Amino acid sequence: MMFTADKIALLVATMKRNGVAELEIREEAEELRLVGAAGVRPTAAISPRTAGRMVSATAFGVLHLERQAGAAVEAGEIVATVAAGPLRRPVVSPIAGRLTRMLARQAQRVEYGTPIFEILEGKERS
Amino acid sequence: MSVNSDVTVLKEARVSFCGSAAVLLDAEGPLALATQERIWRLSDKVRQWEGVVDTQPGMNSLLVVVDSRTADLEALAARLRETWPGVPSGRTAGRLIEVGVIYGGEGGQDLPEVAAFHKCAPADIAKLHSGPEYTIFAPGVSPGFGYLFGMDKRLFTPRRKVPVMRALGGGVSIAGIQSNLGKPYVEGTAKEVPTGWYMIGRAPDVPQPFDLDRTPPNLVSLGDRIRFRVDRVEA
Amino acid sequence: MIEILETPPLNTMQDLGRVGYRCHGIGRGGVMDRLALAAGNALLGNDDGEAGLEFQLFPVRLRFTRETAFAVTGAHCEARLAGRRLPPWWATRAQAGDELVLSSPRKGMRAYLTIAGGFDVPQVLGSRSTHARDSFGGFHGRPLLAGDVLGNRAHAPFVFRDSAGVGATPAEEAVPAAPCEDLADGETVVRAIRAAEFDSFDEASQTALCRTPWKVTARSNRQGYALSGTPLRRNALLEMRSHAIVPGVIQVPPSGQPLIQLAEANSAGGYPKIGVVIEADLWRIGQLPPGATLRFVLCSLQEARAAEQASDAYLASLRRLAGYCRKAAA
Repeated sequence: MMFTADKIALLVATMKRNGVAELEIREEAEELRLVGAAGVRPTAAISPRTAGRMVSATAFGVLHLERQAGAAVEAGEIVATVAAGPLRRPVVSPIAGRLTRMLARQAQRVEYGTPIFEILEGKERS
Repeated sequence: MSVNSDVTVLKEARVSFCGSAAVLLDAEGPLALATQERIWRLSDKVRQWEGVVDTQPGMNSLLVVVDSRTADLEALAARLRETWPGVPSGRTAGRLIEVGVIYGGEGGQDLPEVAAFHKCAPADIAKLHSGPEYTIFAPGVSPGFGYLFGMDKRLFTPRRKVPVMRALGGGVSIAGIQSNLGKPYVEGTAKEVPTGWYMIGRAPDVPQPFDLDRTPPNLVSLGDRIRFRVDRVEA
Repeated sequence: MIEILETPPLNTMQDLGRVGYRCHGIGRGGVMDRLALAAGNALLGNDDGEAGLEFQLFPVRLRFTRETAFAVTGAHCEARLAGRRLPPWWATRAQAGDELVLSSPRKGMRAYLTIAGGFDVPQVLGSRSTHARDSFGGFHGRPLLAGDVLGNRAHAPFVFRDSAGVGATPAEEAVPAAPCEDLADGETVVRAIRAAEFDSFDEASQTALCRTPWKVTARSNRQGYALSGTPLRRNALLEMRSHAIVPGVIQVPPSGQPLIQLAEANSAGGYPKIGVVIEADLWRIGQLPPGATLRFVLCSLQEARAAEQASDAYLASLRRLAGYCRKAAA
């Protein structure tokens, strides 16, 4: 394993000590991106103008959209994936509802917390 | 390259790549038992070489399959080329199996066509075909009696240009200078398949040549011999 | 355990095939897309060569009778688990009673279902591949039927760190095809090595092999693909002796229209060979439906080796990264 928990903890400590806000390391197919606490935007604070909730990325990598704005989704449904090297990790909807707005583009680089969709809660009958 | 019965005959052995994980040796000269014995020997020998995962004799040829991750195909080709001339012929004669054949009739429906091609009676074809002893030269397209050598050259019959649907189970067929003995039909498999070969007879009591419930599963091996017995000619 | 609820004919269990039984006339067999099978196994932590179900006709419906980690790779069919859509090349966990439905692919031709631990069928001659022609191996030596119940072998229990599972970048995106001049949209490029009879074809045909497109005809299946295009001609029409052949061999029968022998090819044949598609590109053909267009590029052994290394690197990286996305369960 290239990035062990110990190694990451050491990197984080070093970043804090030196006031580094963001660090990106790439080796072969593996990418590691560490963002200081100030850099992580809490999803709830992203856009007070919108009434909906956000579906946000939970990993760093390249975005692949699985659903489009307008789609009705269930809680736990995979709406996008985030690729790091040949691996793809899921972005799931936290609630049932309708994806009302797309906030990220296909193939965009995203990080932990990047909002991808705005979702309006509620199970629709059709 | 020269022509013998419309078949390619090489003056010198040729080694070629067969994709990225196999090498093919085509032996020089016409099809002959002495050459084929050398191919069997080479096959056994090469099987032991590092990186080689399988070998398969053909008619006057040998395919050598390697693990492309560990084997150097160029080096293997060179080694084959060097080894081949020194491989001796000679081998103990294999087992002899006699198979009763009903020439013509159902399952041998192409006998009249073959007889017409050779301008003789169906019984003459049966006589010519059952005359010699056939040797299993190489594994066939699937488990069975393999490719047989020994057919009388006078029976040379060019392969059909357009394949026809034929039941091969237990059938005796010819094409070019080769003859083939089909294994008994296996329930659940295709009854008829497209083929360019001529069905000249059937062998109702032919044993199952490959059975996984048997140890070893194969009834016959390379070098074993088959004699066809004329039980009847139906024309 | 998995119960097949609905399947068209010709869907079978396959692994990477049987090696070492050519003396009986038994060719390799196995899956048409080796990379997709291996990727599914890598996501689950199985050995690369663990058997999977190869689906080439759809729709397929099956039920997991108990909690099971599985992967669907290969053709991009709409896969729904308990009604919920899965991304392509995805591994996740089914709950007992969940139904998995695979619809006709939007892209590709053959989809693979692999399960954690692998399928619980005996190896026959060193492989779990179904040898359809002689009815042995795989699941009772035959294609899958509705009502079949397939178990998996015991394995160290694990959970996915993301409960929704984990996926792979599809091989067609992750492992680039060879470059090809004047390539038209939608054409698939495969590399081939010159075969024994290459030089016996006339110059125009040698050129046409690589400079013209080849259509995959309806006479294409696991045994081989029949192509149509500019007829290839030899300088002299000579009969060939029967010789052993390998998957990937491009044979040219008297019609001049090539045949590519594939996974379930006979172990021997008698047509002249103009080339042999390299191992590392065979899966690309396995994903082509009839009507697709194929292009050939001649390559050297070195290029073939480099192509194989690129596939191996993709699988190794996937296997390692996927390992971080699973953790042992109690």
